[in-house]
Formats: sequence, structure tokens, C-alpha cells
Amino acid sequence: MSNLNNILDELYAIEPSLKSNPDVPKIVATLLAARPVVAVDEAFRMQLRQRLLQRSEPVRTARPVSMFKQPWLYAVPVAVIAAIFIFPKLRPGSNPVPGPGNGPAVTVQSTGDRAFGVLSTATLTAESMATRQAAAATDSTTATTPTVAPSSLLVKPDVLTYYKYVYSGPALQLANAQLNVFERQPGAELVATSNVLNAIDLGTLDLQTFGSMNVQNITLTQPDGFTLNISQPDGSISLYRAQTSFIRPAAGETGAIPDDEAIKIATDFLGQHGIDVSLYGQPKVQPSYAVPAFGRAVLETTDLKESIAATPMTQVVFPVVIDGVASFGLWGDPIGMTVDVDTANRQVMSVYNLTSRRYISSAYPAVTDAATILNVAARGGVYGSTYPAETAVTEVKLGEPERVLTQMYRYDAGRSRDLLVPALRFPVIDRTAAMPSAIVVPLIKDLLAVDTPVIEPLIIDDDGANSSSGSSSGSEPALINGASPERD
Amino acid sequence: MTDEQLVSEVAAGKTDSFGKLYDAYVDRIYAFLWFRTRHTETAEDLTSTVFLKALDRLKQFSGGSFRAWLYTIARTTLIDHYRTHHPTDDVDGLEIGTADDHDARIDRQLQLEKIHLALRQLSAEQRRVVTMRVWDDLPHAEIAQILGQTEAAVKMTFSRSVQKLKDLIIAVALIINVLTHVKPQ
Repeated sequence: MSNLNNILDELYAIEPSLKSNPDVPKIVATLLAARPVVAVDEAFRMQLRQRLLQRSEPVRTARPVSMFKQPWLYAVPVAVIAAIFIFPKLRPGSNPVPGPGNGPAVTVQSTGDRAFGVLSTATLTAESMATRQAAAATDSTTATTPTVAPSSLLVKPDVLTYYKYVYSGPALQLANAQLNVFERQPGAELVATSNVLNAIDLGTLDLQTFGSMNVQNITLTQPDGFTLNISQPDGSISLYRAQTSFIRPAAGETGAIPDDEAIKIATDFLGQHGIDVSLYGQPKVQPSYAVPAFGRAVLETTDLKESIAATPMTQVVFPVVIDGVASFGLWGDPIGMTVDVDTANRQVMSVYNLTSRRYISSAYPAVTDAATILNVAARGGVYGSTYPAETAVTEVKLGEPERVLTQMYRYDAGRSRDLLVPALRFPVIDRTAAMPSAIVVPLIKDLLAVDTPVIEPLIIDDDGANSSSGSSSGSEPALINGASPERD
Repeated sequence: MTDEQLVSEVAAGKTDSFGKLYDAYVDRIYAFLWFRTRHTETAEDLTSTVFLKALDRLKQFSGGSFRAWLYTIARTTLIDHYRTHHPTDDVDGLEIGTADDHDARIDRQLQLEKIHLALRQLSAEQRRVVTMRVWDDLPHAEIAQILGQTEAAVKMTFSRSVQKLKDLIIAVALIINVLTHVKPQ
């Protein structure tokens, strides 16, 4: 109710005569209740956060490292130990060797069924969603629920392009009643002993007074070279080359190099630094640096287009593979250790998603009904769009699927679970830039159990839709305003 | 720590602080974009663009409200998107959908129809101010900054919009009441 009261207080302050009108609170309450309920997909949230922080890293590496006193450098052995503990296969100076038979580079430990709880694409159950919706009717600040709200106001449906993904190939093979879901485990916990703390003199406080402490994040910087970040909680390592400017390709050149050459540059670099690529699948080149193929179409409509086109980068992804099955994101692109190659200078700029490879597996009931899977695929996957029955839909053909793992996150009790879930990946045939490269449908029943409500708009009035008369505000185009501007 | 202090930290090289700003605003910016596109993938793509732009242009942030600055980027990104993709679209145009249980759904649809019809009678500027204040929960001062208007003008627009809505909704309710009670010929 606080939001309602705040707005009413504001209105009464602006126009005191409104206070005597009993309809005003009803109008504001109705407006608040009409607020659509929406939540960010957690996988998207995490991926964008990671991309933003990776993008800002070169700024950090250009700065000098601040140290209070020289003895701080005694902490370096701890960092080295951390790297080796977290990633036993990453031993600086050693040569890459095949994984099998050479220690526990990738381990999978099985546990009981449904060990990771209920898996769901929705962040809330239907029951709690109803509660949230009721709350949202009186307080707009509480709204965080599934991607597609059960009640909503919509833009005109005819301005959006809806795709229906259709598969008509051989029958799907869905024999397994249960399938394994894998949860990646973080790096081994490191405890700095009192002896180590004795050796670290910050000069500003006594570390020993804090007792036993864990090493969580370590950053090592090579002057004018690379910065190595080690995250124990996430079990990941990232590596960035200090960089002040790009050598851009000459006019008329794209700066692109053949995929094979980019892969060789990436593979050679990883080999030089003892990173075992045999633990991953066949490397694949992504179409653009730091921009997923699916998002590129939209990004190219912005004023970032020029910088994207001029950035001479190629991204090489070494897919995570478990038991011979490769991993892909829900939009069909491979996920795994990623190497950014500066194609103008033919050198590696960064390596990230180099993660621990220890997993726990747990069996979950699998979908055995092909129709269920094809229905989800038709709307573009578990986070795909629904569309009104009367809307014109463009049919898009899907190719024969392959069995893959797809990455999903689940949050409970403040903990994020990084899960790899068995799925079918249907390649999109004759795709355009606005479509994903493939539709990935998880095969776990839980994940397909939430029925995304179909939005049924009632088209009341479309008079303003085609108006393109004068603009009401300087930089804003008239077409955005739709209806001709009027002022009181 | 305030947003503006976090911005200073990012500018000073503590790039992790941008993660805190992202955490604070990703839900709101996504919702702002989703309300106006009603398309999950488009809202996600535009959200990515907004934060990438914000990161790239953080050095250009010259004080004031970071939130208003970020929403300004979101709004111009949305305008760019519609300029390119939907040359006849109305960002503030609204349609109604619902998937509640049957009875509640009908009641709610009727109520939302009234809201919709009434909102359509407002000017685009009025709709913009109303939705930014009520749905995006932005204070008048920040709406003014985002739209490039004075706070007094935004307050006046909002107040007059609510008064107009009051009259319009009553009129619409009467029309619907009449229409639903007309006997078939």
C-alpha cells in the first residue's frame, strides 16, 4: 500500500482538490494493479553480469597494483597453491596431456535421485506467483516473478514477428525414464594457516586477529602482460591481457581471419600455458566477439554497431564435454572455456570460463513424450515466446536434433547451482540473424512442467498504430509517440 | 554506499563496483524494457545493450542521479530499437492479455479494458509519465531528467493525466455497461 499512498500524497500535494474525490484512489490502485509482473531469467542475468565484468577487466589491468608493503608478496605462494588446488590440470610450465589416465581432471560422482531439488524454469511456484501478483497489485516494488506474466498489458501483436519452430524429421528417440543432471562443484576450499598469516604484514592491521581465514579470490598481475583472476567460490580462472588500444583493421577490411587460424592461435596459447584442451569438445568459432549470435541482430541496430564491427576479435569456444556429450546454451551456441583472439595482432587477449571440472550427478525423471518436447520447441524453447492465436506466425524448420547438455542455474538458500541438464538441440534451418542458431529443449520433466500461459490480447483500438505525425519532444521520433501529441 | 559513490569507484578502477550497480538495476531496467516490448528475447537484448552502453559511457556520467542517467540510456535504446524495427509502432501503445482463472480473468479483463481504453485517450506524453511513475516507480524529478523536462511540468502532467483518467474510466465503464445490456435484435 505504501506505493499507492505515496502517489496519492503526491497528487494531493499538486492538486489539493483531488483529495475530496473518492475515485482518485481507485484510479491509482487500478493503475498499480495493471502493472505487468515480470522477472529476469536467471541464466541471462548471470551471463550478462559475467560479460560486463569481463568487458571492464582491461580497464583494471591498465592500472598499477596497489600494495601497502613489499612483504605482501609472500601471499603469492598461497595464490599458486590455490591455482593448483582448484585446477589440478593447470600447472604452469607443464605440457598439456590427454585427460584420461592422467588424474582426476574431470570427475563425476553420482548421488541420490533428485538431489538438486525441484528444477523449474520459473523462479516461483504457481501458488507463490499468485501471492506475488496480489502483492504487486498494491505495491509495484515487489514484482519479481516468471518471465511471462499470467496477466499483462501487451503491445500490439502485429508489430512483433512470431516464429513457430517446426520439426518434421524422424521420430525422437526418448527411451530413458531417467536422465542424469550434473552440478558443477566449486574449487577446493583453502585455509590460510597462521604461519602464512604470520608472513603477511600489511602494515595496517594484524591479520592474525581474524583467526582462520579462507582464500576466496586471488588476482595476479604480470607487468605489461596478463592478469590472472582465481575465484575459489566459483571454481573459475580468467586471464586477461593488459590492453590500452586495439590495432584496428584498415579501411575496407573486416579484420577477420579464417576459423582454422583463430582456433590454432587459441589452441597454441592454451598449450603453452599447460591448459589441457583434450578435456573439452571440438573448438568452435563464435560469429562475433562477446556478442551472442542471437543478440547481435539487435545490437547492430544501436550506436554500438560501429565499435562491434570494427573490433577485430574472434571468440573461440571449447565446449564443456561430459561422457562425450557437449554443452550448449539455451539459444544453441556452445558453452565452455572461451578464448578471445585479437585477429589484427593474431594474439590471445583473454581466456575465461576455465572452470573446475568436478561434478555431482543425480538422476531425474525424463520426458518420454515427443509431443511435449516438440510443443516447447515450437515456441522457441522453455523461455520462448508465446503468441496470440490470431497472430500471423512465421514457420521455421528445425533439423534433426542431437543430444547435448544445456546450462541452467538454480538458486536456493542464497546458493547458485551451476547445472548441466540433458537436452535436445534442434538446429534452425535457413535461420536469419534474428533467430537463434538452434532451439534447445531440456529433457527433464520438471523443466517442462510449468505451463507458460498463452497470451490472448483483446485488440481494443489500433487507431494510433500507424500515425507518424509530428514529434512532441526534440530527439524523440514521431513514430514512437504514435498518437499525435496533445497537451493540456 | 550510494550509486554515485559506486560510479566513482568504477571510474577509479574498481570495476567490480559496476557489478553492484548492475545487480541493483538489472531487474528494473529489464522490466522497463519488457513493459514496452512484451518480448522476452528483445527485452534481454536491449537490457544487454543498455548496460554495455552504460559501462562504455560511464566516464561521461557527470553527476546527478545515476538511476535517471541509466533510464535515459534505456529509453534512447528503446527508441533506437523501434526506429529500426517497427517504424509505425507506438511504444506506449497497450493491449490487454490475461491468463487468470476464468471468473477473475473476466473481471480483470473488463477492468483492464477500461484502463486500456482510458490510457489510449491520453497523449503519448501523458501515458509515458503515468507509466514511468506508476509502473517503473520513478520519482517525478528523475522522470523529468529522463524526459528532458522540468519537475513541475512532469508533476502537472501526471496530475492532469490522473484527473483525465478518472473521467475517462467512468465514461468507459458506462459505455461497457450499456453495451453489455443491449438486447440482441
